[in-house]
Amino acid sequence: MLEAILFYGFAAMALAGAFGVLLSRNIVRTAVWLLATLGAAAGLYFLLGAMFVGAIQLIVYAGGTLVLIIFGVMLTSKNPHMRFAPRRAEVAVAAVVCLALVGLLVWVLLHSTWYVGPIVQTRAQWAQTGVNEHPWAHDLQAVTQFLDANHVAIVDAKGVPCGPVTLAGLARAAWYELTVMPQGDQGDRRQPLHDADGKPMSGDQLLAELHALPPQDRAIDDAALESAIAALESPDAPARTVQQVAYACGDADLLTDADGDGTRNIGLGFLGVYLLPFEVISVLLLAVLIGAAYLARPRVPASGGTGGGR
Amino acid sequence: MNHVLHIGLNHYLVLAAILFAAGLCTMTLKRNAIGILIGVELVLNAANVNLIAFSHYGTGLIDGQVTAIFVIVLAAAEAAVALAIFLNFYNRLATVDVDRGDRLRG
Amino acid sequence: MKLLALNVPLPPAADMAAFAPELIVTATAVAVLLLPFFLTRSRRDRLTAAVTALGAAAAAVAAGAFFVRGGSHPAFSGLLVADRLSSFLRVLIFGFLALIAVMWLITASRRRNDATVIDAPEFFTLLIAATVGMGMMVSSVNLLMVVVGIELASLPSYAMAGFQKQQRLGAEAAMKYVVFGAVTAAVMLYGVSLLYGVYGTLSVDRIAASVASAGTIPPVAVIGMLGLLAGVGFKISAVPFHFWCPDVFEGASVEVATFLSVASKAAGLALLLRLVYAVGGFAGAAPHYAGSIALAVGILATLTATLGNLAALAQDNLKRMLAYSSIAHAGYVLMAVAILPTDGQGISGSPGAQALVLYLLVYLFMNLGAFSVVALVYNRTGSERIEAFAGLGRRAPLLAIPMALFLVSLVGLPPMAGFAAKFQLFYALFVYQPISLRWLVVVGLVNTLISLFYYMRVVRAMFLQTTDDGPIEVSALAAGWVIAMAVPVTGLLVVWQPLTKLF
Repeated sequence: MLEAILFYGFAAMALAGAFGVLLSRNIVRTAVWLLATLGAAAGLYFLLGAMFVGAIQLIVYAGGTLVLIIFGVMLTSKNPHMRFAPRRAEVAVAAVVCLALVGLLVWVLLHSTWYVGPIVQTRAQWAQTGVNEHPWAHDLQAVTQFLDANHVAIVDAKGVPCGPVTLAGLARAAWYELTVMPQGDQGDRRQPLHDADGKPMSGDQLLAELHALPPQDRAIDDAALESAIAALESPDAPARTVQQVAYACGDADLLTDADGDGTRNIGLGFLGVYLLPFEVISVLLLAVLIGAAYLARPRVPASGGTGGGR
Repeated sequence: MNHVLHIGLNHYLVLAAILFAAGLCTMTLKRNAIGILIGVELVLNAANVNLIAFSHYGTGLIDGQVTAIFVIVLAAAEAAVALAIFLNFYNRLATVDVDRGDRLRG
Repeated sequence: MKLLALNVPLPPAADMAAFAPELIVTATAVAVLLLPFFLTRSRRDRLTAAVTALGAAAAAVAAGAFFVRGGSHPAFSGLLVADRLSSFLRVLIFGFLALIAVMWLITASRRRNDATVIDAPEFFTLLIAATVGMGMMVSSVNLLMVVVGIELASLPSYAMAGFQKQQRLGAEAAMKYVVFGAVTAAVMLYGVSLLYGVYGTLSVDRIAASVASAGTIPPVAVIGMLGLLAGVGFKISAVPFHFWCPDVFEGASVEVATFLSVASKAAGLALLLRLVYAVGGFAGAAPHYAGSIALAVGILATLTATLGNLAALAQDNLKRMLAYSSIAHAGYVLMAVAILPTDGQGISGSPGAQALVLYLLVYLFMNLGAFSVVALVYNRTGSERIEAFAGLGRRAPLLAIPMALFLVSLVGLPPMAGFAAKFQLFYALFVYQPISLRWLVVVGLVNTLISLFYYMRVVRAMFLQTTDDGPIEVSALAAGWVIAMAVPVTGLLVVWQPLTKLF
């Protein structure tokens, strides 16, 4: 209920901002309306558990980019309160086109099937929602087929299959306290993947379990497993968590977003799987700094005439 | 009633679709270059809402969130370059009305 | 090797080696920025260009080493791939950066009019950053890297378009470029977000695998792909994303126009080839959507080539004419993208990739040569209009004769290399099997005929019109440069067959 109230509140704020941007005829007001949308979007990110992105949205987008835009507005208009009005016919055409676009887009979006990962909720959340209301309940058949092909199932307490057994699936199973068992003989070979305190299993334990499984029962690339073990067994490897197994495998599929782990995993991702774009952005920012400073600075008088067209 | 109160993926997608259309409309209706840039920001936010909603309801991974962070950084960089260019244009022509950039006919 | 206390290993050495060309040019950019502190202003600009040329040449050699070694090597957790296609295009792009730096030395650094600014360190930093982005574009196999690569190629390009900031046309060109680019980039990102929702990944290979196993592409994924096409189509100025191209070419300096006409389009086309090949392709049971994709790309190519050629007919400004000509050539290369691979062919040796690579290689030299002549004539006459070329055959034969060769090659007539490129392309289209693409050959031939008119208009102005203007003096260096460009434009025809075997 609270989630619904918060969602509708933020959504209303975002849409109010968007229509304010669209309908406002004063460029300063337009920029301020954008603030509402940016702030509301940050709220939605928090609601979706993306704490770090929400914070970045507020700090960089609302706090930095928007201020930059408002500076731009102030610097590029003699009269910042100048109004400009599009022609009525243009407005009508744009309104019709946009409404048609929204209609088409929403219709297509609502009639689409989306990818649903093997495990998206913790066991507690799973039990609360009930299987039939689960977003990927309609996909159960596909999941089951996949599991059959791999001879293994990850199940929750009710014995409902939760996802394929890949290295990623197993690590996630460990993280979410789900259980793994080979299909066929459920009773005796059930291997719960949490330790005695009910805490998620460590990477070491997980890999030991994995290694113990007979090869035909796991659909895991042996090379990836070996490299992960080698990384974990190196002498200067301290604490070993599932995330570090993830990192060692170079596998983005292990960087999950659950139970407040998102922020930590984003950090690990930026230094691991996403190191390249993270570094490339630095080249981009250097070029932007040089380009923007060059274009915006007044010309040094010594280097030539006053210019101004030819 | 359950569809209304039980917030799911579709709620976020519809919101993002409306933001996207509002952004596109803004781009076509604004004469002011900075107004167009603001429309671009709306579309980028629609993309980010999509990415994070899919990340949460779909994959359960952080790749959507990481992409959203890159989008935020790229938007900031783009705004910096664009505003420097608009400022330079304004210094030449004393306007940022895109219709006044008519020396070049495409 | 561990970094910090986090137990985070550095990327493997093999990944860094695959990335060596980009690392070399990035180091060059840093050197270019630091050089002015040690040099007097008068020597600064020339030396900056020389350092850039050397760094870019070294990067091209590093990429060439990868090409010779061959094989397909995924790098950086599958974000990039170093295969023969990406290595060859990186040789082409970084080699082109070196050539642009030399061209700048010969043309721009000698331009002395009031409105011209020469701030080489800033200019070359932007140029290098954009080239790094283009290098990423040709080797990306992940949509996140595609987006980052396109933005890294675009943002410095916007600034370069407006680099002649004292000129109204430059300011206008930059504004149109950045507005159009920002809009297409935003639409692209929305499309990418939809693709992420449908396929749950940004990896191109995994999306391709999902498409192949589903055997169909849902409507929402089609919308996502169209959004992606807006971003890539902007880079290659495919119709209807071409509006920026003539304006930017006219408003920006000749050197920037040359750079954008070749490097930006080559990178975009190679990227599109990779994306289309991943999703389309007639592997396995020849799914029906492969034919639709080939048809869609073919229609895009037809529109782009025809509109580019028709619009070029009406132009009097040579930079604008060459801009429309570059749109038309992008259309021809798009035809190569429609040649989808059949039955498990790798991307690197497929007929489409062969035709694309040969065309881009030839196009590089003929376009660089033609733009160089335009720049040299502009330096002497202050005009880029076709009248400035009147009687050039008599006034400056050392420029006019190579220019005629470049133009004949751009038409695609024998005995120039442009003929080889077109022949290879049309032949590949003609013999293509699973579906018939012969109608594209007809489109290509009709377009070649149209293009004959406007290219020959320049040739006629140079050799048949007479003016009272005196001879244009051409320095030995400039003449040597133009002739050096004319050598591959004639010579590539001779080594044409071995070249296609090479790839």
